[in-house]
Amino acid sequence: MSSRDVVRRLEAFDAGGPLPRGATLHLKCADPEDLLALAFLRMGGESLPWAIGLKKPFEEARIFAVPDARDRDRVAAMLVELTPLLAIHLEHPQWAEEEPGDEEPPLRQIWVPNGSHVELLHMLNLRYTFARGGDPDRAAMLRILGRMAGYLFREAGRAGESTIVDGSAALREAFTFPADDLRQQHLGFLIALLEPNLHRGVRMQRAEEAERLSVSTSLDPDFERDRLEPVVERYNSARRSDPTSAARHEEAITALLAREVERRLDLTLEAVRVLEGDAREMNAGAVRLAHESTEARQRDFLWLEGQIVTSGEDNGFFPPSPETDRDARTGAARYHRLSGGAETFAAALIHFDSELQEDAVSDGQAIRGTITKVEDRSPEGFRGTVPVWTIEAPSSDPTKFRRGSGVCVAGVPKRSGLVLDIGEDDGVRRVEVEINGWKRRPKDESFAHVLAAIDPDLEGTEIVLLSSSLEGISALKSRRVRDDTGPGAWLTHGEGTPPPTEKADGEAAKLLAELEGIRVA
Amino acid sequence: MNEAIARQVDEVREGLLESIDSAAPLVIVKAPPGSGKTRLILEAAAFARNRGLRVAIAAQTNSQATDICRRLAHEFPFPVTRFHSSSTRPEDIGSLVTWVEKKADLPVGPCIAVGTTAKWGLIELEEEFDWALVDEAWQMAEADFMLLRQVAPRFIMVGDPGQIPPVVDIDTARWATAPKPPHRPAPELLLAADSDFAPVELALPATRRLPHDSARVVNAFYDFEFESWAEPGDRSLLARPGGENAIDRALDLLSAGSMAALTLPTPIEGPPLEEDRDIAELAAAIAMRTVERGGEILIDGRRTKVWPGHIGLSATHRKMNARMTEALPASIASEVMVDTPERWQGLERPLMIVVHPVSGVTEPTAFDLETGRLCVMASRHQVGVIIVTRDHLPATLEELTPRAEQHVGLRDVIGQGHARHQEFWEKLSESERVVSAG
Repeated sequence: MSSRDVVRRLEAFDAGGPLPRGATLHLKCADPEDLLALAFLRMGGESLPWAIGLKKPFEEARIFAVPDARDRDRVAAMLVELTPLLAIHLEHPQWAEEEPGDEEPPLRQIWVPNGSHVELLHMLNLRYTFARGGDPDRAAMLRILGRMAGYLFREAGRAGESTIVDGSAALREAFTFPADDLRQQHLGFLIALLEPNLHRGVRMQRAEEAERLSVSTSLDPDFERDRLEPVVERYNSARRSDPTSAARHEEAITALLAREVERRLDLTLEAVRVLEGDAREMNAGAVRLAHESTEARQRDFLWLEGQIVTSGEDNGFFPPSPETDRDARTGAARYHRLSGGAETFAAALIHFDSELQEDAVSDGQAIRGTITKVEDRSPEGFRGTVPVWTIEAPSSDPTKFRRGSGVCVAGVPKRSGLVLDIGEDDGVRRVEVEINGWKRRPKDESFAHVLAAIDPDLEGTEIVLLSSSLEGISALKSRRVRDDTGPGAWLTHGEGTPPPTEKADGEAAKLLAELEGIRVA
Repeated sequence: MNEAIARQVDEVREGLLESIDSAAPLVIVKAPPGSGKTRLILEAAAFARNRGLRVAIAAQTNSQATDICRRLAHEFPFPVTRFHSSSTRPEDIGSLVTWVEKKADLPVGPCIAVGTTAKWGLIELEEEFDWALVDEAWQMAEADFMLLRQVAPRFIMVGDPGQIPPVVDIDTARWATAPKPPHRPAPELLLAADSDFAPVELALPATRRLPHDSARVVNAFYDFEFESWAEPGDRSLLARPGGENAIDRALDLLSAGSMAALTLPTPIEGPPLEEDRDIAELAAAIAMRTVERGGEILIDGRRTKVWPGHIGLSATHRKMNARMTEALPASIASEVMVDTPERWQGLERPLMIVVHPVSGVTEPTAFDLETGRLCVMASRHQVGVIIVTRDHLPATLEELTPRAEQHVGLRDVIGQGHARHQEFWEKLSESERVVSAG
């Protein structure tokens, strides 16, 4: 936690309620028809779901439940019902009614109440990706669910993704709450704190009440023990001997679970409503991140599913392992892609959010200063310009920039440059930057206010310098690392055999003498 | 002892040259701090070039690549190509060094070309090299090493296993149990690989930089033994007489021994968050007092007058470095380098003043207990290092119970880091090198 975060939280305590975090909103919510809330419930000690709920804004919830989560067959049957609904939402090719057109696919979003529901997706991924037992059609459906859950779980770990959204994390990103980290995991607590026009005492009281009701995949232990367990026992006793009575107990269990799931779904959609109703501007970078999430869905999920639909499951197309990347190429490619995602996430949002820029300045990742000199250092005979800015900033701010650092101007990502010199004197940090990107006045109308880099009117302008982004490099590395050809691939990729060793020509001592013989005196 | 070390170093050099002579596919050289890693790379490159071979050198940063070119051109008579990206500005570092941006302009036939791992990894070569030499190889992640597949069939990797591992800013949990975790240092994985192929393994036996007693303490961070070229009495700070205050007492400790620690009392309400101005001012005051007292620095029989450029300061957080810079008097500020341990890697000063990574941290995390940063901070000095910290440090380390969060079958890196931190501090305390400034 940075000192700015500490100050923000203290200010929130002082204000008696949450305060906006960031000058803009960092997450684009999907359109209502493309947004789905998803929540799970687990039985104590079990890893698979006991009940599942799906709900779109302005629609009724769909609830699935089994009377006893230890009954693997019933759980599997429930998940088979869930699979097409999730798959249709994610535009799985098996359920596609028509061939995809040229238009950009919409952002399809799944919201869950908190991180425990994302973890349950991983359990589904582990349990079903390679499911083989029982009815073949059912197993095939479960494998689709396993792969889909795996994609969602992996995607949830990619910085800046917008496909699978943890509701409580989305609120924490948008607001600073007057509470410790642990309490901020609770979506109900956060939403109660966000209720407007309440006295601080009342607000906190409501938040504490909300906090008593579980929102994770686990039920309140008292509720599970006192209310559900007796009915489950009665159901199990009646299951073989008294089907009518068992059905009645099953109905009672479903009703109890449904209430719990629906509460989680409602809270999740309330988080969406809070963010959609927020007056802050949507960060332009968030729109780009949403677009990239849609691309990632096509690339990391739908492409493989399309191959499997076309060619079958055992024709050379393998889903990623739920546990780890056993193939070094796959792991390295994913590593570079995730690194690129983190760079994109940081670079996309910061240009359009003054508060993020302040965080970066405070952390030494950016410099806020004033352009005090604009020069053209083009050599004689050079037809273009070589704009060099001298920027002065307080030397008390930390900085990571050094000679040779690549920088760009906040708000104008393509106006980039290179730090030629950086020094400190008498409390002032002077940075010389040669501008090498977007030297001229941009033609793009959205940057109409940007002057040419050589314009003397820039003197006296306050700017924030950020690190120039290397986003494209990681994507390139991610592609290139899969190539296993080349003389060194025997070592880097385990392809082929090591080159042969030869018999040494000379004695060791002579080799040293040979080396010393070529050294410059 | 120096003769014995010299013989061992020659054995390593011979081993390396023999490997080139016999075209061994992979050589991995472990090296302690300041032991001549880059020198070994230069020698291997020059030897191979002299044999008419094509040599590519992969450094981890542009400044390291440029420095290798400068040193090669200074020590050997071969032309050197500095293969650089468009964002790197060519520098005039001698007539033997040619700066080349495009792969098509790389030399044909025998040559030495130097670039960064990133640069080599992003091009498709038209003519492969015979050898790829990787400097600071422990700073190169496996995923980046894999991109060097097209450079050469044979590799020499030289690096310091005790330094800070590659910087990774993503969640790496998915690869905790992967056979080849892409974020781990490439040589670490190659040495641990369970395969029929065995690389030639060499280890430099001694540090040239560190005084003998520092070498013993810093060796705790390594999985191989090393010594110091310096013998007792070879290195010391011969400060003019000072007073009885804590700073002077700490400086006096550097006249016979190379490590000292200076502690400040921890406020009852707890240490300050992120920026500890008192600690920053203490570090700056030590630097100033060193200059004020004057005297000489003794390094292997050579005496030089103390001046501000002899001193370096380091803290793990940029904000603390900014506070230390701010606290330095104007008379010495421009000469004293202040930076993070990441930036200090590969650099040295006769005297270092460092803020202990756990100072002010009452609940140490994996980041705080990672030993690479402390190892780098405690191994930049040729004569002496003074470690400044809040005095809660020993109690914090003592009371901490690492949670062993690693996956089954993996090393408890955090627990081991904790143990190394404790050992390090205990060695300072037991040798009565901790001075209280309270």
